Amino acid sequence: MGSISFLRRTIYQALFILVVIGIWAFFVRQQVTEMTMPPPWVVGKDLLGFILSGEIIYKLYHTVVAILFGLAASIVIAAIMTTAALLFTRAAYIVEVLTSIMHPMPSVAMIPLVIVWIGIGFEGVVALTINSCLWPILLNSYTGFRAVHITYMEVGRNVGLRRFKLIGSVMIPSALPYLLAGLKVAWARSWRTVVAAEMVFGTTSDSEGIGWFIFEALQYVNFSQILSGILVIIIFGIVMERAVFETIEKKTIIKWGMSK
Amino acid sequence: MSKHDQAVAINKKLNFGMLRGWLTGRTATQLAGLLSIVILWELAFRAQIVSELLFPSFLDVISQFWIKAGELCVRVGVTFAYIGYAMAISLFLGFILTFLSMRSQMVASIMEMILAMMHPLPAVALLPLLIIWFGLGSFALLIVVLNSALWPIFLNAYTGFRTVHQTYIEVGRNIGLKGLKLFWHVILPSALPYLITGIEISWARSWRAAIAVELVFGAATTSGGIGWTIYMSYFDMETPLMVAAIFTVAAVGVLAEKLVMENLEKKTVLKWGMIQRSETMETG
Repeated sequence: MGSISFLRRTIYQALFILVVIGIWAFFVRQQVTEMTMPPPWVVGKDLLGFILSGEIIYKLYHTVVAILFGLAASIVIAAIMTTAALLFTRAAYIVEVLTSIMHPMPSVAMIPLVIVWIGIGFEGVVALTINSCLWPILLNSYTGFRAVHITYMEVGRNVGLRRFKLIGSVMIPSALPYLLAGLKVAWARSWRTVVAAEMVFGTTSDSEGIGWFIFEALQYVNFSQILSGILVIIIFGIVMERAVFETIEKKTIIKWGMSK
Repeated sequence: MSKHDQAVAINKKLNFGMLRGWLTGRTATQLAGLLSIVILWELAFRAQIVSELLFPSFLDVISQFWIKAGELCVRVGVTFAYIGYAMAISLFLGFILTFLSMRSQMVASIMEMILAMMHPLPAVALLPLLIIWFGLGSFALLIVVLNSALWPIFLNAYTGFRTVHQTYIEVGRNIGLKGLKLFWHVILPSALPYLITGIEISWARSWRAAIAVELVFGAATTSGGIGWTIYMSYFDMETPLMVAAIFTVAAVGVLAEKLVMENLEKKTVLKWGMIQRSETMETG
């Protein structure tokens, strides 16, 4: 998509959105009941209402805090396990077998187990987040640190770096592309798992997250609320991708010429 | 024995020795690790710290594989049928969308926007919408699985076909290939690493999405796949069956990755030297 100008691309995209909204408005006119499909302006008004009243922001905040908690815990656990795996061959074998079993496993399957063992509250969500974040982070950091070029390490030693300085100035920067990839996968996975978990937990608890915000609306057949929740998730996802991950990449691995 | 034969023999011997070393070191450690987890589990059960209802014995879980083997297989089969169906449609749609995107800049820019929007959206988030429109049933499930299977396939097919080296196409034309033959012998193999990646990610995502949807549907439907089994056994507090079903999910994931996906790569792009599998990044 490089050859086409930014302006033309934006015009095409804007036109497409307008056409979709047009078709939607047209169908509403053609006797679809307002309950299953209210017109676009009603949804727009409701979305604005949810944002202005702060309700949707609060739900989103609730979900994001749980994910960040789990993410932080996963990073700590993964750091410990990676260190052990790099120091001891036997630990590396164990890490390999654990990741090869747990990494392909959908962590949504763990939801009932988490309900039974931990409960449906905040702790349950955090436990699920840890399960969905830990394995991609661990796998990528282990691979990344093992792939650090031996020449870099020797150059680092040659200029007098040792221990923590060597780790901080040579090993972590070299492994950074892998570490960032691991974080990205972890973020995407935990987001999916938590939304699903909130839907399952929701029916029996006063769950507060954005997943429950969407699923609760199903009970009252509140179409605007469902669509608002979905739109907010999309916008938040795009913002995270563009504002957070791309900025980090631009400031580090792209600037250093490790990745394009 | 010629020099060559000697070299081959030495090589064989060395390989065999390496294999034996691998068996005694890695596999033994890994088995010991897993075994100690199992023993700890069983000890925790024997100690009766928590109720038997919440924390089943490992042996009970394993015996479920024996008692309920048929049912577990059928349930996995039901989920597989959905995923297979969704992936077949995705491949078809993905190729059409790729073709259109390569022909028209308008389609390409619209698809780029749809991709950016659908990528961060968890598949299950669409579920309430689909339930209102289509009801609680296999159609809503299929759409959710399709939604998670289609985008990775399209994105990778599009990237793959766009980045086919111009030189390869010209060489193909030079030796007289045209139309379908050019596509089959040059363009498709060049794009294959991307296509395989797309199929891998698509499989992983739709497997997750199918289980998530079945869990959310839960008690509302009368039958379903392996995710439904997990939910129903949770509902009935048949914890051993629940854990056995979760094990099944893990086993299917490992088998799919090790048997299908890695072989797919070994037989094609790895053999042709298009990628190196040693230190790949895990994305998806």
